Amino acid sequence: MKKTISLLIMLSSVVIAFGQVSKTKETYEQIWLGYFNQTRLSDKWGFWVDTHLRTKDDFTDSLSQFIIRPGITYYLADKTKLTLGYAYVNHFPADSHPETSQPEHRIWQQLQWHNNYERIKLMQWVRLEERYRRKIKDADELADGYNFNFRARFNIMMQVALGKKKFEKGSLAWVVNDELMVNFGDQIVYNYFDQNRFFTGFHYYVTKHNFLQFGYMNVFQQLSSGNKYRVLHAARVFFIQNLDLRKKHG
Amino acid sequence: MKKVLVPLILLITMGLPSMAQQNKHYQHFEQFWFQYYNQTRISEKWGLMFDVGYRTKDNFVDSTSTLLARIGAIYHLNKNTRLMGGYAFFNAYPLEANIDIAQPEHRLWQQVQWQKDFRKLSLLQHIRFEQRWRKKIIPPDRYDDEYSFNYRLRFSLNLQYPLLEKKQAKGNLSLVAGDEVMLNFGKQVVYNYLDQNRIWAGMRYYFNRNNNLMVAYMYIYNQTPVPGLYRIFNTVRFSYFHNIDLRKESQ
Repeated sequence: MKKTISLLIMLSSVVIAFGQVSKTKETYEQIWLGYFNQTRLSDKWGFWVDTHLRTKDDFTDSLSQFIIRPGITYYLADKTKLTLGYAYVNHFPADSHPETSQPEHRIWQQLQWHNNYERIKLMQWVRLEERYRRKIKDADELADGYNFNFRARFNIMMQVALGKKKFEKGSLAWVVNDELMVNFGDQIVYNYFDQNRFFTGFHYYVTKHNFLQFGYMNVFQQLSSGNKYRVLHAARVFFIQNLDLRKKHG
Repeated sequence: MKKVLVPLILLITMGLPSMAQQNKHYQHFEQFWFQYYNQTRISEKWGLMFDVGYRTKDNFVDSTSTLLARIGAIYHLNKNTRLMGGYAFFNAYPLEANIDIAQPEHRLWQQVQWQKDFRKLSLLQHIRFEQRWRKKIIPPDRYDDEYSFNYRLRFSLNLQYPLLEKKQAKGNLSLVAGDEVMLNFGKQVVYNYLDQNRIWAGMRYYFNRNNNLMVAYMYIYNQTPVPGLYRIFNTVRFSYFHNIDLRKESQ
């Protein structure tokens, strides 16, 4: 142990002198479909649910992930919300488990806030996840128990209204969105950086509170071995629905 | 020297992850950070900034780890949004025991920052993009001709909560807290896309509207370029902020 750390420290000076070793990337093309619902029930309470289906490669070739994610939302203010939820993720067969799906359970906590300007809308959230991923025994069998890690996510989305109608029914907005995810926990050794998702596209407002999001997403993800990376080029289509079930104020 | 060393090093670094057997290794440092920040407003739209800093190396008072100076221009997009850009010079004394010379660094940076005020709480966020050129060193005490290069992206979020009514009045004290995540990228970055996370909490005292001092405890979690090697910094920061307004109407 002592020897390893002194070797590591020696190496760190070598890195200063000569730089690092090389890295490898694998690239996939996917389609991501998603539905988001936020429903406000009272001044203080509401709920959240989103669900996703993602293909694996060459845009239409088999599936990679299914997610369902319900939560309970507490309104600190109209534009500032706390959400606590659960998520179930199905990781369809992949390299480390080619004959079986890997299930994942997640608990998550989120703070979301909105800043609206005349022509610009800004949405941000900070989310903490506790991820329990079922252990893999071999190609077609799961093992007992779960791997565990935390993940922090920072999401920022800017919309710019296009045309005369701003964020109204029938209007279009240009969207730029970036989400950064950072892993941590005992079992994370190399990939503290999990992934970055950059998206750009459009929102089409079906009504004032419901819109369709479509565009291109680039995902850059570090795998657990540390020097292997995954790049996704994805066509992303989300439908976002916001409902307010409060009795109208008089 | 280089011809023999490079393949040897590649062999060791590539074999290392398996040798380390999925273990993380930590180095701990305690530091003081002193920094002076100046912002001078010269017109409705434009301003200048500079800051200088000094950081100790370990056990709070042991020698020097970093000297830095940063200069830049500020463009006020509107009341709450600023674009900034500039140059920075760092001289960093490596934390490795077998290096005896400081590593100079040249940096270009661009930043967008925006502020949102709630009833009492204010939220200041910035995104900064850096291009970093660091002089390569041949241990223990020689410089290589070349520089290593990488990009870095920094996301910062600062909260401030005043304990008195008027936000920036003389004698006011605020609670401050914040977090900053930094990401490396570029061809030469292999393992440490996450560079570091900084989280801090402290107090800010206003001598008057244009002069204030922040004292904060900051915890830094830093992933080094060496696979599996991490550094933790427990630091105490003293930051003095000085604003000058040269606009005519305000005199």
